[in-house]
Amino acid sequence: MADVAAHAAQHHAPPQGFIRKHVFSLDHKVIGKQYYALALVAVFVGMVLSWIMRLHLGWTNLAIPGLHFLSKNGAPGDIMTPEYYLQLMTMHGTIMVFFVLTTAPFAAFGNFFLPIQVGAEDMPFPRFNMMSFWVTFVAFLVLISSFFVGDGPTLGGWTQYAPLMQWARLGVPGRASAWCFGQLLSRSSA
Amino acid sequence: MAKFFAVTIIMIAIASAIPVLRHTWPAPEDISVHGHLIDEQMSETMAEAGISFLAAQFILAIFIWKFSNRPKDAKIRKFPGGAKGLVIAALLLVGTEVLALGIFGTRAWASVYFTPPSADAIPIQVQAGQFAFYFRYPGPDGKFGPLHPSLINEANENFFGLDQTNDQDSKDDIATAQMAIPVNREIHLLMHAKDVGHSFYVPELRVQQDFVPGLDLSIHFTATKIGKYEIVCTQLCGLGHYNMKAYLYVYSQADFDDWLKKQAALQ
Repeated sequence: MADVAAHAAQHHAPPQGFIRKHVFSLDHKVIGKQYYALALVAVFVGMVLSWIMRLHLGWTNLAIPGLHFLSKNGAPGDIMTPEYYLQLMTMHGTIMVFFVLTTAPFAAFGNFFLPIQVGAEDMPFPRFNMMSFWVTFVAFLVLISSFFVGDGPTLGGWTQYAPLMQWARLGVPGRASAWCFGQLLSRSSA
Repeated sequence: MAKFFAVTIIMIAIASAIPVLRHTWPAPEDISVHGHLIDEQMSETMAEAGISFLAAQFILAIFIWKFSNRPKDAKIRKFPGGAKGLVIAALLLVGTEVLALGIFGTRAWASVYFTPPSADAIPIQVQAGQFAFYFRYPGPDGKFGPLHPSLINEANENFFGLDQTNDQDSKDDIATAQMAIPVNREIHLLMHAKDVGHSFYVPELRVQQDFVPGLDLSIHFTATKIGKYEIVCTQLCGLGHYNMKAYLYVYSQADFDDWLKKQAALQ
């Protein structure tokens, strides 16, 4: 009797509804694919940043269309200042390390393959796992939002060592707060 | 399709191993006494990682070749011992590799960081600031005078903030923009940062140490070959970081003494 009850409790009915199946899924394979999609988006953003950095290294006074809208003081007339170069470099490093290099192998591949490799049904805490992904996603959005606030992101490098990250600012102080908050979210979800 | 994938994996694995085995990109020439320990550790790590990598790729390719496109009723073969056996095997294999590398690496690390400099090491102070390195030699009295940050004045070339009028020990200190050391003599490098984080890196010496503002750090090394080497800053320090460097000259003892005399005359 107890066996049957325990067995029934373990095997839930498959999820219904689009949201439960594809958005807030508890299945480790879906979560792994979601992390992989996030890593792909992040790697393209990081790649575009590296292109812009390389353009600046090759043609220092090139006017890159649209840069003026992102940062009035960092790229006046669409021409990148050295400060803005460091800001782009910081974000390239941060995005690549935290949202591609840790997300793709550990979160994406790990979530997908590890339970299969050890013969488990799923990860131990499926709801935490699902929430972790969405917190990482929000962290990514917070980090990207720093491009659109004030004069752009912090310029202290992806290691953000003090005192450089405190002193080296462009425009509005507290530049690093979006970066820090994004980090807080992403690292607590990792 | 699966067989093509297996072959591709093996080809990529071999292609990535070839440049390493052929030493296509060798490290810069080692001119330090402790450098060979670091290079050996690097080689051992590369060998261990390389063998594990090739083995893993070959096994993966073999499994894909043999076991893909099997009929649905084919017998499922399990790892001996099941999942538990697999986990124990992985723990033992990976654990041994990592522990071995760590234990062998302690020798290299301890010889550099846990060994104090010898008593007759030449003390040289280096100050890293945005965006230059400056060096100070203690002069004939062998003592460094105190530093007064409020007296730092780039225009007057008082980079360290020395009070050469009132501080006796500062009077014979020699401040330079280049670093010169005698060959085969141990150097005790005393490091501090003036403003933000920097790093002292000489690839040939196998020496790299970050400057942390507020900390007085030191490293020691012995150069074994005469020549001119580049000291580069390898920690982002601001807009001029890309350009921040100094030169290290390793001279014979006689040439070094000459150099130091010339620098003292320029103070």
